[in-house]
Amino acid sequence: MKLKLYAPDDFPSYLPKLNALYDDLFTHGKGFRAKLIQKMSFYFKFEESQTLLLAQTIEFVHNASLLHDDLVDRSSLRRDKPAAWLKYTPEYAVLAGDYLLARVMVNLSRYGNLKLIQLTSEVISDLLEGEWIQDSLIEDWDVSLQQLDRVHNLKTASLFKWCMRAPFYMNENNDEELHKILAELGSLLGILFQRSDDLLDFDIRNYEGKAVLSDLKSGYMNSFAAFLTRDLDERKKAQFRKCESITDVHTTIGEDAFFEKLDEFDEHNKKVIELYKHNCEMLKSIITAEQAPMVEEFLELPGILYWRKA
Amino acid sequence: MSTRYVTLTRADADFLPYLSGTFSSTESAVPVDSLDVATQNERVTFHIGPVKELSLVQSLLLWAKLFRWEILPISLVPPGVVLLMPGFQHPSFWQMALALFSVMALHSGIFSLNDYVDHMTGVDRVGENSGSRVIQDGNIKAFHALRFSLGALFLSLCLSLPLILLNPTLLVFGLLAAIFGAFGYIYARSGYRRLILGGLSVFIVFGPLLVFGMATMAKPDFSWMNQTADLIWLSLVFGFCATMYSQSKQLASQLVDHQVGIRTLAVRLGFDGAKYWLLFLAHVTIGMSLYVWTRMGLVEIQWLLPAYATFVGVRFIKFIWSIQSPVGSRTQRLGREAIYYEFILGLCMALSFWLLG
Repeated sequence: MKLKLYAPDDFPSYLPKLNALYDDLFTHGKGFRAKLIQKMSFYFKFEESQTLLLAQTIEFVHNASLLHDDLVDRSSLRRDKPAAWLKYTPEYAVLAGDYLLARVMVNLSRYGNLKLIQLTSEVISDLLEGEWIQDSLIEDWDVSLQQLDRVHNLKTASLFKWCMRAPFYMNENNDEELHKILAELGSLLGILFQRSDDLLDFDIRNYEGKAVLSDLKSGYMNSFAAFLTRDLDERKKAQFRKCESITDVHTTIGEDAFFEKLDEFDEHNKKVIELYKHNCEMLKSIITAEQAPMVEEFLELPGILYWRKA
Repeated sequence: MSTRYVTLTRADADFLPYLSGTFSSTESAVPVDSLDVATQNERVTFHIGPVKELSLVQSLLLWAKLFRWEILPISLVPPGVVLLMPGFQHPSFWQMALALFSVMALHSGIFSLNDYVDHMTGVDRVGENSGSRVIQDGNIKAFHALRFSLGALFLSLCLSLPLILLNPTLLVFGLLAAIFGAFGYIYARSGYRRLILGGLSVFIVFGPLLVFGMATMAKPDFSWMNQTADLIWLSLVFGFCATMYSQSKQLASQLVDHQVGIRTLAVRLGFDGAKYWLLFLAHVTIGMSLYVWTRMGLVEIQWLLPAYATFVGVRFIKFIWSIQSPVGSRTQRLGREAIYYEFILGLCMALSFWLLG
């Protein structure tokens, strides 16, 4: 069942531009995180309003970060449509992002679960910190994969960590050991998702036909670019920076070498997936029998997020 | 082959055997790095795999890595320069050899012990640039690294014994170094170099103690009145060089230290503050080194050496100015650049002394 994330009266009707901006923003999103929340909620037997609160929270936070990111990165397209800052002005994009974050806090404080409020605030703060640090890496052509992981752990992974932990907090399950495992699972999922997203930029498993090399063209070395170029000499690296198309990349790196590196990258990430499975097993051993089948669903996630299986 | 993981907490009986590597002679347990840094001291996931079979060359290269040759200049440059200072009675070849090998053994003993302590306390699992990484990469088991470290420290003691017997004053410097070292390891849980006072210890050990220790050996009738001013300036220069190195490493691990809650000086100062502090140290070091050269009485072409050392120093300052991100590649390279500067500075000073002598 598709969850309707917001009702027309959730946002002030006397601000039509704001409503139009949100309609544009939310219409074409996959809502992957909301779906994950929905699946988890089933095992907790949450009421519909509780599921909606969680799903709405994560989607609002995620979309607020997109509004801000697009402006910071000067990205002109979002989900194949003009980015909000271009269509509605940068000022409106910033205000709309802020408004979503404010709505999240209003809704959560009404619900009154302090742990949930604390977790959400931490995620928002991590997202902003990650965006800030990522911006400082523009034109850094020698950044390492490990350092990028730190940034992605603050940005992408923090949302997944929230998805993993928030339903347990809503269920008043605040056990520290449990939350450490959940946080680890969220981190690993976030890293896998980000790395897969970075591969799209090199037209790998790009089934949706997203624009390629946008990170490289804006001066940002993503995780695959960092992995691909780590053993290249300075001359080749300089050539790589100037690549305008995937053909240029293949020519610079060498087509065979490119795909060998891709295999190596996939192998590297298979180890991350093994680690993720190990954490799933640990989670299974400490949750209730009723919740245990949820772990089977978790085991499917790397396939969807990294291998892009439908 | 399928990958096997084991997660243990400090409360588990198997925790220490897995961490030190004594749990099996055929398998190794490599702690998996975690991005959730707050959990790494108490709960560790190990990747279990067969012990790597290495060729003799590979093994030698790994032990050389544990030896930390890449930062050898901070230990070897000060005594090397002092040995070539004019006015000092050059000790016999075997005395010089004993002294330098003793310092090298001490260097590898201290830094491999630091690697071991970092591994056992979890510091290296949150900062992927800390130490030599030979334990963390599963190439050498932690207990082997400990044996190597204790062996190196014992070797250092044995090599320095004949020198101490010839000149018992050296014992004072050895004892002082041991006190500063022990001071650091008392706080091993948070790591020696992560303490604010750790920076001061680095300054004292790698500056005044090494310089005056070697001066005492090189001049048996050394008195505090003769050439003390020259030695003080030299010890300040090298003390600042070592401090620049340790502060560079702190700046490179600032984000992780902040997340873990370790309040290093770099964390307290913030990114810009730590950068300006490093710039201050670099300017002071270059300024003091120029002063040391003016005291040498160099003539004409001999000034090429200080000119080159100063050029490398200015290049280092430019490099510090260029860093802009706590996780950027240039920030991660700061430590190497600081060591390179000390190496060139030491080499030029040693050559200058040699020319004058």
